[in-house]
Amino acid sequence: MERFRENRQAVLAEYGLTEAETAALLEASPPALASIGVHPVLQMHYLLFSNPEMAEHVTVRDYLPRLAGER
Amino acid sequence: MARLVGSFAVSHIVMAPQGCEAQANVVVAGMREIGRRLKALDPDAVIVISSDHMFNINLALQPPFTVGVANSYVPFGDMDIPRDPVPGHPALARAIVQQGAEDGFDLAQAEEYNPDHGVMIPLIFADARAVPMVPVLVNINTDPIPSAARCLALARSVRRAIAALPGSERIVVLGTGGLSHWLCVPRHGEVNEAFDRKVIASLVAGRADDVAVLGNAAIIEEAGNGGIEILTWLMAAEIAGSPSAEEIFYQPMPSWFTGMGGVAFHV
Repeated sequence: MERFRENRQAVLAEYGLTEAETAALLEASPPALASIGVHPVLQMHYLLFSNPEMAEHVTVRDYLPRLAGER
Repeated sequence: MARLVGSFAVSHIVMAPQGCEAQANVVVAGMREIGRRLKALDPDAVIVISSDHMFNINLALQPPFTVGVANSYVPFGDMDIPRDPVPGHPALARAIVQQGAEDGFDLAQAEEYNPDHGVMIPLIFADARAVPMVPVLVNINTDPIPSAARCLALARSVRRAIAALPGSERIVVLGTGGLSHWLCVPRHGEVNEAFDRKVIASLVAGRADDVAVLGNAAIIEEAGNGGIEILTWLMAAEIAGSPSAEEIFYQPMPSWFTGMGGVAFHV
């Protein structure tokens, strides 16, 4: 994951992808990912992985202290 | 014989509350209320019916239905969910698989399975992680998605499995997922509040069939590729014998890209 975040192009080059696939994965938008046939659920995982700020929105972390306090 | 003592259905995601604090509070309170009621039933086991989000059931192997039969499960850890193990209930799981075989369902069994948010979020908010759990996974991610009719038939088989289980254990069912949401497809982010409310109203009236008869294509059209998770709600209703239900909460949550709701069936 760290390698990917530091140099996406180099990591993608290890997977024998076509130019179109590489471009779509670098663009990392739903339309681009859909254009190469990425399943919608896997698109979501890839988007969360590629965009840490998005992952900050999809987390249970904000609620855990409160839930623990209500036990 | 074991006995079904409760059945609930609830959404299985939360997102950061910033910017929608009031709505998030309603959702959390609703999920906590379901937990309070669930725990008041003093269950010996909870059957959690959910989808898997391709962390376990992915493109490599695509069983329509999978039952977890392990002694315990380590959560996958998506959404920063703690990875503390949760107990399983192999005897109940095997009974479901065996009854399924007698009823025409060749159910996949999982000794290794890492529950994702679909199972863990409802358990966390219900404070029910200590209750032995049997995960029943409906594969809504690869075609053909099991039909609503097929899901209801499996639900009736699960009901028979509970009734035939030796002992006097108290069993609760928790159907999780939905309500309407479109993910990474056209209409991404939409919420169909009218359809969500119609689904809840049907369940409150004891008419899960009104939703089931729509069929998967119409449900997906109205509720999205994620909204088809309401198959699990229909199963929770059917296992309980399709009784009427009480709406615990509903919030359309565009900032979370989904409708959030929960109901308690009158078992």
